[in-house]
Amino acid sequence: MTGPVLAPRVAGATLGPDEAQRTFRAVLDALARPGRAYRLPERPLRTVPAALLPVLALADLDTPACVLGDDPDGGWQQVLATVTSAPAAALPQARLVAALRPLSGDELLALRRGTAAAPEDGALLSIALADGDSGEPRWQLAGPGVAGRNVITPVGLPGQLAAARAQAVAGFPAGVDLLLVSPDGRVLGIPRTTAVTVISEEAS
Amino acid sequence: MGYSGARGGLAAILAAENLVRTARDHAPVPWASTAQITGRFRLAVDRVMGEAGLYHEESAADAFRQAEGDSLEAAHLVRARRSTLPRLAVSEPVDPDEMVVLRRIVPAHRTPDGPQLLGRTTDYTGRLLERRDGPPERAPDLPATNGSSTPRRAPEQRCPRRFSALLADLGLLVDHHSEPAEPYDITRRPARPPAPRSAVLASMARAETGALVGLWYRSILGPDGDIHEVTLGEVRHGRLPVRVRHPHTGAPVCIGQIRATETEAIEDLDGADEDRTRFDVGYGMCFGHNERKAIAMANLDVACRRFGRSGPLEQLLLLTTDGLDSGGFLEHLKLPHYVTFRSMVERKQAMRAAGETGPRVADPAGRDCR
Repeated sequence: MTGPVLAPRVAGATLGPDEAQRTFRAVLDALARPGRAYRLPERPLRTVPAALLPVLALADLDTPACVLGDDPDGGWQQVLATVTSAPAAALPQARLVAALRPLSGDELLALRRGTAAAPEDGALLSIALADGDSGEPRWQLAGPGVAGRNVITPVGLPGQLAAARAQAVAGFPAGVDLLLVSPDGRVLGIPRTTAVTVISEEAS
Repeated sequence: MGYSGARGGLAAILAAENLVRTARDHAPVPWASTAQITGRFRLAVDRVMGEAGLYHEESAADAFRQAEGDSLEAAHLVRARRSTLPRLAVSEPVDPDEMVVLRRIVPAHRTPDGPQLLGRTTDYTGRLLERRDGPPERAPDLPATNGSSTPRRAPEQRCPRRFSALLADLGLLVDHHSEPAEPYDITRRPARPPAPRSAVLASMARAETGALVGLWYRSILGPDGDIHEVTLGEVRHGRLPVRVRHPHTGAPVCIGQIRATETEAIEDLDGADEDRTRFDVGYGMCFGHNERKAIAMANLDVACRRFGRSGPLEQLLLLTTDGLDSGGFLEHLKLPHYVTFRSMVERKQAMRAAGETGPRVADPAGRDCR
């Protein structure tokens, strides 16, 4: 990507301390209370894809990052590297992943999960949800931090993603954590401790 | 050891915090500005930077004000701040020979290469307390120069060749044949013995000044049996450039400079298994102007190399000198320990009830269990 196109993106992606803190706080709250939506700061969302914002706030030199569904010239990965110094990594090596396009179950299974001795090495995956409110699919959440049983509708997530995730988090404390980010900047958190059941509309 | 979490009543805790904020920030006295603290208490600011491990004078000054002068609390605030900052780059290794000295003395030799530049020091000043309400009316006159104008320091004089290089030329220094290795990053993994020298140096660079001086004094007085004959080779305070590789061109770029204190301690080797025809050199460096810490560090570096593992010194340096570690554990004692203590009381009462009040009976082998 050339300078004149990269520069305004970099400017838009450079978070002020207040924006970085609010993003961090929203991610923290979202992972602490799975299923409750929290708002990301508004200003960066004017130029930055919503699913990239959590990664922008959390990445630095020590967090290999991967952007899925980037522009063909790799523009957003470059912006990320310029703003945060995060080294670009392939999907299996990345600590932070921003999926700007839907990702497959196989891709989720390829993410690093950490180990029992180092569960923090597991990847944090920020997935872009589609626009709108079609009401499908419906995921029922249960577990630590979930008040009772919570049902969310992550629009645009492929069907097999929940099954792939269940396999990825089966080896607790190793596992992966998910952030579901809607285009209007609301973020839901699905940490590895949450049990997800897909509720189907059609009766079997 | 078990202890309950602090349940002292949230209201009481909030009231205590309120009291701190009111008394500290709204006291009816003039506000201590950041410029005043960096300008008038530069050594406190430098000490906080060094013990926190973050070079930023304004942050250290603000922390010093917020901690009401408690330098360990201030270091804690700055280290916590450091943990929130994203790491953007790793600097290129700093070459201490690039230091532009503001002060430089060589106690070991009268005429080393370059000047004996006393600089800004009170080493020779009588300790007379001056009690005043404001600065003295007249600034001191420049020292008498017999009519000639004071020559400005030439750049070469500000980058003198270090004294240990002279000793090395004479073949008087032990050569450790050390391979350049990746330095140990104590901010990522705590260093535990046995640790490489870089871990010991890094731990000392961030250690509490008083802890290092105390350990140094103990090491010199020798209750552990180690004998030292130390002379200081260099004591320097000056500015060093910090460089990073440009992310796009890959070339090193100077992004700023820091002040540091650097010391080399020449140790006389006299052990039975050491090369007694040579000296060894210990190295000390810390942020800002903190000569006591750098000198202690240099001496302890060479002491650790000589005696670190034959006695407790390496463990003491790695495990007991960090101010936040030691101070934090100390202050945790103020948290409620109700359950622990009650269980001790009940145990003693049970022992009394069972009649175990006499002296312990000695083990048949003759040794008392303690």
